[in-house]
Amino acid sequence: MSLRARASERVECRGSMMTPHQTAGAEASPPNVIASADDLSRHYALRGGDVVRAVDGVSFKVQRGETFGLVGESGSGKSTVARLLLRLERPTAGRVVFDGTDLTRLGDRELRRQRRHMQLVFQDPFGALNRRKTVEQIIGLPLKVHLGLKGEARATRIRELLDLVGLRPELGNRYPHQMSGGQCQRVGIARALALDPEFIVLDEAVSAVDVSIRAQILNLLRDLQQRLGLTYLFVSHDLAIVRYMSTTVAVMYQGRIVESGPRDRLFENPLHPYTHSLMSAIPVPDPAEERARSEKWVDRADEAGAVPKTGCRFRARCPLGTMSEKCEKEDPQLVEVSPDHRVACHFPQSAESIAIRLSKSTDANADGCGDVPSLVRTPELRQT
Amino acid sequence: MSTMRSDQSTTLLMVDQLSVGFPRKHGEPVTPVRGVSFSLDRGQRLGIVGESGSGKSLTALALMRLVHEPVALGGRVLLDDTDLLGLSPRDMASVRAHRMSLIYQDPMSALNPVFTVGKQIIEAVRLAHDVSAKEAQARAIDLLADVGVPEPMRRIGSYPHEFSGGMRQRVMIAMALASDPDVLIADEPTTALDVTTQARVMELLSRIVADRHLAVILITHDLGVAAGFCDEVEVMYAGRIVESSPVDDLYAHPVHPYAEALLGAVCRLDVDTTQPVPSIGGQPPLPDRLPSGCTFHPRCPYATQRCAVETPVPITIEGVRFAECHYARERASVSSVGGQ
Repeated sequence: MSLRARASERVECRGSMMTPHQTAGAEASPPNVIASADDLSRHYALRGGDVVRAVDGVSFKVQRGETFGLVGESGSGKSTVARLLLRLERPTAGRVVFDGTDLTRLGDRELRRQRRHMQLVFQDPFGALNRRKTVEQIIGLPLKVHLGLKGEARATRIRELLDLVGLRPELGNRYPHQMSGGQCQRVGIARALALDPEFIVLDEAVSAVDVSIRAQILNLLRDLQQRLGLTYLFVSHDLAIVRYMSTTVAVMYQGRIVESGPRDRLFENPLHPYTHSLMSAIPVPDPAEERARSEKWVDRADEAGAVPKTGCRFRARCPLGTMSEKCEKEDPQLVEVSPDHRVACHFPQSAESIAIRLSKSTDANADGCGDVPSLVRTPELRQT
Repeated sequence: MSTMRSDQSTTLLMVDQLSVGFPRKHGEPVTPVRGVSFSLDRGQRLGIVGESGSGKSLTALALMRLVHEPVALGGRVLLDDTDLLGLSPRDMASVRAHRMSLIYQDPMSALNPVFTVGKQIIEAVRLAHDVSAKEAQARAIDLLADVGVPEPMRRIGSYPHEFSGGMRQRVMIAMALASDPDVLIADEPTTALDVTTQARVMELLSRIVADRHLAVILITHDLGVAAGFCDEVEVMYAGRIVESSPVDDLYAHPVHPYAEALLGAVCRLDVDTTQPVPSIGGQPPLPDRLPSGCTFHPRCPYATQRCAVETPVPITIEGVRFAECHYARERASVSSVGGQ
């Protein structure tokens, strides 16, 4: 089970996000874009006439060979976006273009043909595998269905795939319950690779495995990407893992992308209060740093209650959200603050500047709410 | 917080060579917990960390005598001077009602979906205290308020599914506190929660433990969570405690190679993205197929011949910590200079 854990050179291409109005004629998108979401929405109707806007006007492009990281809490809509991208679910509005084809217009048969090129790895390694089938049968099924492979040809390919994900060939005869979580997740990855896809959606693929195994799987995924030229959509709630895996990152909150950009730019200068809150909440294996956490600001995730229907959706949890009428009335749009780095916030700023504001407002009996515009110091914020 | 160690060293709970075994149809019984010892002082926060399958949750269940029979329990669990393993089921139920509480990982399955949370908290209050229904309800409302559930008067009539994950875990904490316990065991209390909610719940737990001067055992696989909460950490591997250490020492200089590897495998926000994450090769062993000698030796980068044949004994280091590694002493003196 030795992993080819080499230091891998990063693939040199970045994703670029776009605002809805930029995306006319996406079919003619440049060949280095493999998948794009174009003002994508998915709403669910509830009994009583209410509507859940699970995904609400999301646009982005995934470049060939990159890892596009989608991060957010449960309920942010990140998994729904992943499913929409694979057309496992139909969007309420908007389009998904994969490799130049508008998936939202495809019929069932064409869609099935298209699915070969796009695969999915699930979160729960046990739940994703049929417990009554052996590993060989599990990995062999797509080979049979899509490629019509039989007999020795199929067996050879199965061995190849097992080897690729670092599993010994004898494991082919095992059932899922006879394997560990890490091994099952490798089987899930092997199955996703069976048809030689270009694009793989990893939906919380390492969230359910232990720390030590997680590192193995992350390294395996990066190694496979290098060797096979794969493109990943990496969905996770863990910002640290998303940072490690991705070239481009989009942070989702309540069905919207609230901040996005090239990995380094976003992590060096995060500007949305929600991104700050996700970052500051990650537990660090350092006792001194952890104890100091309570002094840092972590948003009121629990107590916030319902998501506001007007204005900024994050404002109930935001330390600045009640400071301006603008937050209550105007829904912030994604605005480019530096090349490809976009933020949907009326008052984007660093965590330090939020901390300073908070300490000031508690000092001054919290009445210094009128001077909000002075928050914005970054000159380039003004242009779009 | 955690620099403040056991005030006057009053041992509350003493676990001595606890082992849990299950008989099997064929062959020897399996023992997923093999001789675990530690002690817990009043006001102390003890962490038990390890991967799934290391036996940490089973240890918690065994302390509460909640392991499903048939089971062989060995060793002693002394609460004050009473051995819990020798109590009658009835007396043990009374210990659970008054002295020790358990918070489970998954609040959704730990709460009964067909009763309101109020009813469930009131039940816990009345099991522990001889109070009227009205008084119990008032206490339940206080408890909900104390754990930060907004509008407790109204929410007491809500059902578990009407709460968010974080709020549900707060309800679980309120229930655990209903009996005014001395010992609180929290088994992965935040694993099912989002990071932001986790941070809030851990903050709450920290405050409550300090306010009530509780002794806590926090079971977690997340070294980050343990770092912030605990003042003493036990690292479990294959059913044994392989390292026991005050929290600062452990994170600064892990002695046991497994502790070191676990810490190294954490993907931090500042990890070098151009390098592979350090991983521990192989898999944790199954309790019925333990390797010979040191159970960690097949995965240990420092293993020698000796490790494959000779079972290590706990070696005490600096008086306050121990590690079950043949080379603990050497490693302790090296790691305080070099790290990693």
